[in-house]
Amino acid sequence: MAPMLALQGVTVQFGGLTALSAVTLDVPEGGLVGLIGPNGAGKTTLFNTVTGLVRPAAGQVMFGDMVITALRPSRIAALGIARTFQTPRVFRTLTVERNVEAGLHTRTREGVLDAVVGSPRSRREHEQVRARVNELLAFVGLEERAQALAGSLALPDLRRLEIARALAAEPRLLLLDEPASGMDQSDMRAVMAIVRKIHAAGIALLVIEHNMQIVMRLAERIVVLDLGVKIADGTPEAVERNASVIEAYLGQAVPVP
Amino acid sequence: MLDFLLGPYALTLLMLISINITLAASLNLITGYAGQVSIGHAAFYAIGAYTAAILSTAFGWSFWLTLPAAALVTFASGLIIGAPSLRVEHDFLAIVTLGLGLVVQGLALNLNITGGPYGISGIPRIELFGHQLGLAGYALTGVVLAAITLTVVRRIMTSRPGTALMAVREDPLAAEVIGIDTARYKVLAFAIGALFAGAAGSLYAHYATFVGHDSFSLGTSIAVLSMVVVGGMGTQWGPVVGAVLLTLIPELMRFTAAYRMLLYGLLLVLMMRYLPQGLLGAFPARRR
Repeated sequence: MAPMLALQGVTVQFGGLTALSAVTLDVPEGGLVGLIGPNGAGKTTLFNTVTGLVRPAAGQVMFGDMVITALRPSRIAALGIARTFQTPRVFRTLTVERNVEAGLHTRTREGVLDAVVGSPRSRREHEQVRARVNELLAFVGLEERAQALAGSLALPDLRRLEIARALAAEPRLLLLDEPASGMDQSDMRAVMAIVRKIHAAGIALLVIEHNMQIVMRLAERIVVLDLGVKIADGTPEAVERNASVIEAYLGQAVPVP
Repeated sequence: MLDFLLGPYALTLLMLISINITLAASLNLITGYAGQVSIGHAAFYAIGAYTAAILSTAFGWSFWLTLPAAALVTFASGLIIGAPSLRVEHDFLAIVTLGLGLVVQGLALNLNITGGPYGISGIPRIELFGHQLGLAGYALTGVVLAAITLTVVRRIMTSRPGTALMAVREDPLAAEVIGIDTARYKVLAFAIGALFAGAAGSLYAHYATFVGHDSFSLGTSIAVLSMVVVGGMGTQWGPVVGAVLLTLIPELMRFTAAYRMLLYGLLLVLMMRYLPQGLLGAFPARRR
């Protein structure tokens, strides 16, 4: 079966810097793939390329049997790819509720004229939106904060909100950029539980994570980037033993005299 | 009936306030809600007024036809003038819209169709059922126009397109990534805002029976922006509060007329320093 997401020889350059160098990677339907690598390895650049924020200099990104390399980010989102950011980017002056509502944009049709005349579609969708928002907030455990301004949330709740907003678009693939960074143990566990629930719901996940323990336990497969090059791709056990991975993280072994 | 309650001076003020509410509420959609700073809103007001002036004097159209025509023309011009918002942001967009406002004023001053420096005079007054509208009629028409504008903006802002507009204001990149076509919504904000400014322009033209390029100067754009800022950007009633205050204060202090711009400028500086959210900004409106 063809993979759901496939990067084929993707190269990204920023001026003279090569951020990604001929990276080939795929995520199967419903899979849970971990993406790791030292700082500056190109993990976030890879996310930016998949979501259309960065144009690759070479190679292409396939989603199903569609080439999405040249599409606008909003088109890519509508096709079913959602993401979160390493530093959450919520709509700070809007309520939690309304942030999730914004995430429903691609799943609703209400236009300006509908809104102005209060068309049947408008009324129907307003009800559906309300129900769906409550569902999503309950899913990530934020129902208590529905009316709070997003800007007033602490980091763990910002992460939950961003995940709820991303899920609102009913993506087939969700990219999570370090969902557990900067959190304490219990918040980390809570987020990982949410990630597992998303996986169980059949949504494919590609997760950047710095914490090796977490990613080794979580992912079915792990891809390792170093300086823009893919240096390993396999099961957590295989990756853990991979010599070049150990070298990338810990440096070269020096013979003890 | 309004005649009995209010004298001619009060009725005139009421109409001017209504026009200013319409202008401020429509700019609030562009700048307050969608976050696209515009210092050229008078351009749409001008385009609407000149459209009405030309259609009524050259083709004999009545107000009831020039109003929708002016709204349509300004909607289209909003699509064009909104286009730079796709290329530049924030202070750069402010400069670009300022420039576009000056361009429109310059065109009005130099084109033949707009009467050049003489403007267009002899615009017919509004007639309803064969009767010329009195001052009370104008005031009422203005109030209805302002009410429609406020209602439309409110309905947009409590629905899906409104959520999209505010998402674009808050974080355009995040908005795009969750599937909002940010380009489309920016231009849409300009076009809808322009539509109501154009309608206000038509009412003004048929009230003053004369339009000239100096009615739609940079000063007008800044005054409208001041109303939005003073009342509270991105609030439902802010434009009303701002328009009422900034129309009445200069009226009540006519002796300072020469210093009107100074007053506006000072007010803007003080607001930005001490109340950047505007008078109503401290109480975010509840929705639905």
